[in-house]
Amino acid sequence: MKVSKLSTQELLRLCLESNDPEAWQEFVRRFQPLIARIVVKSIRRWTHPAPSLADELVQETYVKLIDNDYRALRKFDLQHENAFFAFLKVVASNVVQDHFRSSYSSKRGSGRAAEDIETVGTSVATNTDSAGAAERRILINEIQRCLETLRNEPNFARDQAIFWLYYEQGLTAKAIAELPGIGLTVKGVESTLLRLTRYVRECMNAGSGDGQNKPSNRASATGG
Amino acid sequence: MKQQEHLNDTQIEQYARTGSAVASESDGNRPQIEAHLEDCASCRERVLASVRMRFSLAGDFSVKVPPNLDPPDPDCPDEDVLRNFAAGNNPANDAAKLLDHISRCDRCGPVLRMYTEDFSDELTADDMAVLSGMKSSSPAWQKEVVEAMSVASSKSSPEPSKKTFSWQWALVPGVLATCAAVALAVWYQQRETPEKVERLLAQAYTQHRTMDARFPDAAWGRMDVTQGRQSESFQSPFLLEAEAIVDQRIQKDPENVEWLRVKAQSEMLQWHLDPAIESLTTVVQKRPDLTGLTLDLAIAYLQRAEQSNNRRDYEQSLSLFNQILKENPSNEVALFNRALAYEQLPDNTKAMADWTSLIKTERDSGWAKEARERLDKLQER
Repeated sequence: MKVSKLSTQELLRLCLESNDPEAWQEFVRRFQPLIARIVVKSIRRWTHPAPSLADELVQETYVKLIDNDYRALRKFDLQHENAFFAFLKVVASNVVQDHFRSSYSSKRGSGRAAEDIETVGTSVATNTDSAGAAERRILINEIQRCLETLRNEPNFARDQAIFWLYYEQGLTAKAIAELPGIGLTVKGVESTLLRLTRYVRECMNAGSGDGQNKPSNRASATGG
Repeated sequence: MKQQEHLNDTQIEQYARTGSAVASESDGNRPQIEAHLEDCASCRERVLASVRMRFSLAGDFSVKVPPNLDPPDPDCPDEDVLRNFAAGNNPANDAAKLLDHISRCDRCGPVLRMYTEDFSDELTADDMAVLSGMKSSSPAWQKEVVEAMSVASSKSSPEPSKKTFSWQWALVPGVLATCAAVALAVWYQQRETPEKVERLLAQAYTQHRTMDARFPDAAWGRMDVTQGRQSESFQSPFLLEAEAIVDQRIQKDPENVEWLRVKAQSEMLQWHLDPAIESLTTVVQKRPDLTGLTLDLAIAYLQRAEQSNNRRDYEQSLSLFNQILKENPSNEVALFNRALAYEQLPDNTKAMADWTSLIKTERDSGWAKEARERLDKLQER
């Protein structure tokens, strides 16, 4: 059977048990773009990603995978196909983070210069002026009061989380859909958001969130 | 209203404001708009983005989260949990609980967002430019990776224990060492870093410790009194590999301070102390601000003093350790080695004071135990 047709689990097994170069070639072909992409995007949190540094950290990722008799790969428990992609994302991200954090702390600790490291970014910007922060808090509380009127609806906890992850935490609908425990497609997340948004708007415009003047289309406010 | 291909900006804005009890001309069109939104991902996204801007519940989403994150509250999950969650892993099966917390937490929410962005498929033009410039994207590089992984895999099965593996190297040094060094050098040729060499040297030190002096960043190792120093008849594979990398890189970049440093460290492990001291003296003069270099030089003097019982070298090492400890009194490597230097002078009072200080702060149990043993021996005198 062609190695390109193998499932991730079958390919992993073949690589680890048979030492078949063709299997490893397929492994690298299949997963290299993902590893490279994660490394480049992770480096960007710290500094501009130079190709040479990205190459180095991609190699580090492979080293981590094969280190100690492929311990990381052998230990991995493949529950479903996407789990291995998730695993590689975490390993690659870890490698980049370890690289910069150790350079960051060694720059402070041992006196060695980390000349190539730039720290980027500033503190997470929130409404720092007290009036803006207070207004924001009032709005959040008002919205939450409206959402609470849906507490007894099915999937309330999930839908509420979707709402706040999108509007307060800034995740995209796609990112939310891919989180464990959501169980919706991107369209499902967006539909949930639209429904809740309409509901909250009507609730707030009705002037109270105490359930006494519920919006007219309450039955369609939550998805199932 | 006839259903349009896409909503225009005005319609998007109006719909984002919908919910008002006041009738507007858009109300009559609402069923068509909502039917369109049901089918059109692009317009859904635009509407939601517009609403998000109007709500303004969060800060600037384009701001990067800094590398040093705020320490979590007791309820906050570990950053690693958040990273795995963003990747789609939830081994603890507590997704509902995590979602509830993260969605409302000013620390965990941004962390999760950061990781979801890092793990997303979206690439900027700059990302794509970097990726296309990477050697690891090339078939030639990938072929080398495959060869190295195959070699590593074949060495792992059947697997002798590491201890007997090193004895096999000693029995067949030339052929096996060369083959292994070449295989490893091919794999590592594009990824040598001074930090990697430091790790290799630290491992070589711990695996086969031949000096009383404590090596920077090395785990404790028992003194190997049977083999003697790192002689030509026995060389740690870690040391061999480190040397191979250093030799290659020094040729390309002979003035690089980091590479000169690890070269000197490699020489120290082999008790080639004159060239080590000469190199380190030069780089310390170039970079007196780098405490690590001064520490290496101090240790090299200490070793040479032990080798030749030279009092001047002991004093020179002491002077450097004092300099380091003045800036950083808790530098355990400097404290350990200074205590050794005092023992040899001899100045037992100062040696005991240093051992006592070290025992209080040393986190590594191996080093702490050795410090206690040395203190006990001095106290028995």
